[in-house]
Amino acid sequence: MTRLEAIRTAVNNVQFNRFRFWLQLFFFVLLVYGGFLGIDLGKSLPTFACGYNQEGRGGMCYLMVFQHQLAWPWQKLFSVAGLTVLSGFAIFYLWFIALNKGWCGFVCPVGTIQDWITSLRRRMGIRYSRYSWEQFKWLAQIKYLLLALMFIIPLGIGGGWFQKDMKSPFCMICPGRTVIPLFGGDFSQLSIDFSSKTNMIMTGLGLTVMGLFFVGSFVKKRFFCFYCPMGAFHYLLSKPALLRLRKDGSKCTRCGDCFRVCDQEIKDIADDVTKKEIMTDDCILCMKCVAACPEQGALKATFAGIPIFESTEEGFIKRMHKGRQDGN
Amino acid sequence: MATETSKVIPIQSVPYSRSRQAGESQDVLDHIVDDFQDNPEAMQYFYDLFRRIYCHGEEVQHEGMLVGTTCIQAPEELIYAFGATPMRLCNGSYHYDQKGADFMPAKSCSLVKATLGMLNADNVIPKIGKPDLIVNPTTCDQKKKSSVMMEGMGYSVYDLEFPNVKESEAARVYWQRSVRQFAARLRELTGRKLTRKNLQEAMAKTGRAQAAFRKLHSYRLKSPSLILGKDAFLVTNAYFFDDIDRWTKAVEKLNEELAQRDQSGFKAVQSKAPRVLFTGSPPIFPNLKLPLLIEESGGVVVADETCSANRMLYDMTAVDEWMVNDMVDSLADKYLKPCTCPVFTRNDDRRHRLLDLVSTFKADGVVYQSFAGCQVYEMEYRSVAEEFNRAGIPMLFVETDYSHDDKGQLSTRIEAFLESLKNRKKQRA
Amino acid sequence: MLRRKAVFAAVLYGLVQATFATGVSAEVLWLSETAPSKRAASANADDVQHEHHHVMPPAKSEAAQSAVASEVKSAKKHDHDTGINPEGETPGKDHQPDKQLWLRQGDNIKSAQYVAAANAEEHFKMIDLGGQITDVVTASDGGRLSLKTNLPKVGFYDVYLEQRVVRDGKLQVQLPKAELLWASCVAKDVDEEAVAKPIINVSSPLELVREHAADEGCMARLVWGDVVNFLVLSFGKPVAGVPVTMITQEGWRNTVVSDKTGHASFTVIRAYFPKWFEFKKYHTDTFLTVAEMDTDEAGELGGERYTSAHYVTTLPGKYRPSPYDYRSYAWGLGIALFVIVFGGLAVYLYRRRRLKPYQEERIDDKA
Repeated sequence: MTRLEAIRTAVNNVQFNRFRFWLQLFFFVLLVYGGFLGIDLGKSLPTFACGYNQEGRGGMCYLMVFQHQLAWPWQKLFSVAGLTVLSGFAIFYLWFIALNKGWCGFVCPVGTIQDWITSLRRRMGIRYSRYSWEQFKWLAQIKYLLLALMFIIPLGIGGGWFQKDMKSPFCMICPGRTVIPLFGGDFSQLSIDFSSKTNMIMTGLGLTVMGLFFVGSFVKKRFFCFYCPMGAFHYLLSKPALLRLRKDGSKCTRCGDCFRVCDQEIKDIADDVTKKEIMTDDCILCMKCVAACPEQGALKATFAGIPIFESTEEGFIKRMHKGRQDGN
Repeated sequence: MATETSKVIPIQSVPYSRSRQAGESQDVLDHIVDDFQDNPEAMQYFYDLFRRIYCHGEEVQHEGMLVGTTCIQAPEELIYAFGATPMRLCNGSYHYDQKGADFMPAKSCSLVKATLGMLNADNVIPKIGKPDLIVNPTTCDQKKKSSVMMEGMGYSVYDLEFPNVKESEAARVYWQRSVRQFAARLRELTGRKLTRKNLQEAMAKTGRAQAAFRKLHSYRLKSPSLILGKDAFLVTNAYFFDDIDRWTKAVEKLNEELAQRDQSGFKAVQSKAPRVLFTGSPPIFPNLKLPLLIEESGGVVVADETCSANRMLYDMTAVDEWMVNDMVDSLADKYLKPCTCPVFTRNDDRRHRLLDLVSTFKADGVVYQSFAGCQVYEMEYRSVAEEFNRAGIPMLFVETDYSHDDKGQLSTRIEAFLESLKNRKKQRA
Repeated sequence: MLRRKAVFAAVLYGLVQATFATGVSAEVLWLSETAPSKRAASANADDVQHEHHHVMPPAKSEAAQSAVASEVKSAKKHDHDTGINPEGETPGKDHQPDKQLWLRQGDNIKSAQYVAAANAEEHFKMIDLGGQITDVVTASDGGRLSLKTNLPKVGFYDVYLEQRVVRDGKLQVQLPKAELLWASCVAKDVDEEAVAKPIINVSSPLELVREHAADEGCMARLVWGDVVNFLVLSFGKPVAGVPVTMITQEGWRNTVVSDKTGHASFTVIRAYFPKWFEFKKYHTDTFLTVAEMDTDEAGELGGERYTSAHYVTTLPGKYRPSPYDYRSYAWGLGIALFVIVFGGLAVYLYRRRRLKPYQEERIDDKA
């Protein structure tokens, strides 16, 4: 075997769950505590590196900046100042294109927190819940609704329809705002702001969402990601992305192993044997499906067209055989 | 003198190995071993196994209780986890086929007749002993109706409810529940509990067997072939009743030998031998009539899509959370979703699989066997034929049964088919 | 020159009067960022009328003085001068680099008069973070003395005015000061710590310096309940024993004497009592800090001799409602806990008892 083939094989046979755990931990520390080490990756990150975590953050979630900017008075927004919005968006887009929705599956601190809660549940031996296929269909639309509101409300503020207190409406309901600062010892986001009716309602909603976040992610893997407007935003922009999930339908036996392990319960990944690009709007590009596919080359993750992680029979056998006696 | 001739000459009982029934198995086995050259050494284990079990009527050892299964959809891992041993009861003997014909309708499937004939016999060969439970998944009509017949023969039968539609959510949930209820029934039968540990060990056992099969499967990709189809069928037929660990080790040894053959450039057949994909009703020892005819006439069966071989061992289970509830549900999904049995309403997956096998194994043609009386395989033939026509793949449809009468006719047809395959190859080259 | 003297004379007399009356000079001058209300701005006619209070020919000084004094006392009658926007400034004004200051007179924050712009050549000094001094020119805005300035960079700027007059052999010096801030959280190349440091004017004979929080360059605001520390400095050196008085919008005042390091601390008190549904969390209140010092020094100013001096310096400040008054952790945690408990219970019951067909057979680790 050539050197390249040896590396390829090692990568394809990796203990995927362990690899992913360490990578997620690394990004979590980077984005939640990086500020203490002087790391600042800018204010256009396509992931929930929450801006409310003021001291520790290693970069800031673009949605916070985006909503602030959209809330500018229309005169300002549609004038020359609007170029700053476009330049901020351009940087966000460049960050996004590199990892596509891999930002969700590997980097997002809120996603990592959910995976840790899932591990806790597993340790307690409690089973997870699944959505029925009907529920899946209509619940999946909620993220688009939230994305639309995230655009409309700030624009409405700029145009004078809504009060200024509605600024950053998604930040108010995002679980990142309430949960991430907790990791830095900041509990101030857990209070209800009684200074105006709007503030009361929004902070109340925010804490309700936090409660639902904990309950939901305890019983459902990656609960919030299903409703995340950042995910919807990503998907709409994902055409030119570099990291892609590709499927070779001719090799697929529709055995459904990928569907079995998918956190988001995406059935298309197993059933669709015609599409080449198989990342759907719910997909978080966690690559568990690639790791769980027993058919050589049926699923692969490519970066700029170069396959970096492919499904192999050998890799599957290595990963899926717990309790094997022969030491393999 | 009259007194001497009036003495009654006692009729001595004939040992099984000299009976007509054993003779059938004997003939086939001798044919498999002696009439072909360069059998792999590791195959000796399998030849000996069949000789002992089918020709000499030796007992088949098993651990714990014996759970007989009549279809591949019965989850073996659960049976192993409860400390019992699963054994596939499907029978290939013409002797039992004839016995079964006594009480089965004339137009019945030979396989079901033979299985019922065997279960009804006083002397059941292979000598597995009386199953403590027979699990009968409700797949095709004839298997379904044999449930009550088996009960009537004195067996304890469990109807494992298998859905007829596999695309719907209802079917998936229904099947998961069936499997769970089956686990509960096994718990009752064996008095044991299903724990994480014993289920993981059971899945590891079958996982290892599946991995060994996959390796064998991949060696058959080679052109020219390293091993003949007759041997591959024998290997997978052995899985029905042999001890799984021993079987796995024997297959791993076979794989090692095939690896050596590969390295040394060994050819089991001529380079021009037509490569055939075999699909349809399962060839079960001793009824390896059709595959043997193909290989006698110079072809080689490189792959198959039957439930006595590929379908039984190919699909592997993926589990996300190694807790009992998730493992059981994952098993259920694995037995349903990739299943290409013709009992379902739609056969998209089977056609997709066939096309994939043809292209991956570079098969030159397909032989589609259907037992007479098998409505589902015969009805599916039409859609499969259309698919192959579109893809330009030649196919031969053979409707047959366990009897040896049509051997001559079949031989002619097969030879003609293989000739046409050879000509096609020449033309394309 | 003469007119200028007359103004000062009037002011001083008023000062003396006020000192008698209230213990703190009632005629303190201070700089305010609050604009006069619209009604007052348009009532120019009235301004002219009142102008004579401030710009008095010397002959009428006596009458004027009392008038001025009474003017101050009965300030309430003159509506247009008491018009201060009770809402304070709208949020966001701090973020802009252009500022406008008015000179006002009187220790009643709500009703202090705006000094007219008749003598439009007051020279104000502005010092920035780096110690750079600029002269700011004043202008008349609606008849009132005001100065507009555009802050070149992010950070604090202090504006100083000095007015000296000799009365009865005593030098009276008024040193109103104001702090201007261009705060920004998003500006590039800004050293936030440096930007938040208070500025010291080493050439001022008496100065009040408010100590800043480290993040005032961006977001921090004073809220009621906060302890504000002031340093009393004379030519850059701390002075002990100086009485410092903090006056709130409602007229409450507290006097503290500076300690040996020159520090005087106050806890800012609440002065905003709206109805609960009219509460605005960005409401800004103003406080005014006044420090006075007497020294023995002899000298001459404009031909008049003096043997002692009295220095008065003022520094206004702004503060907002404290989050403790409108933010509740109890409610927040209560809601979260409620959702977790009842949501969790609902999910649990749903998983257990939902009439999903075929789920009654449950396999788990205890199977």
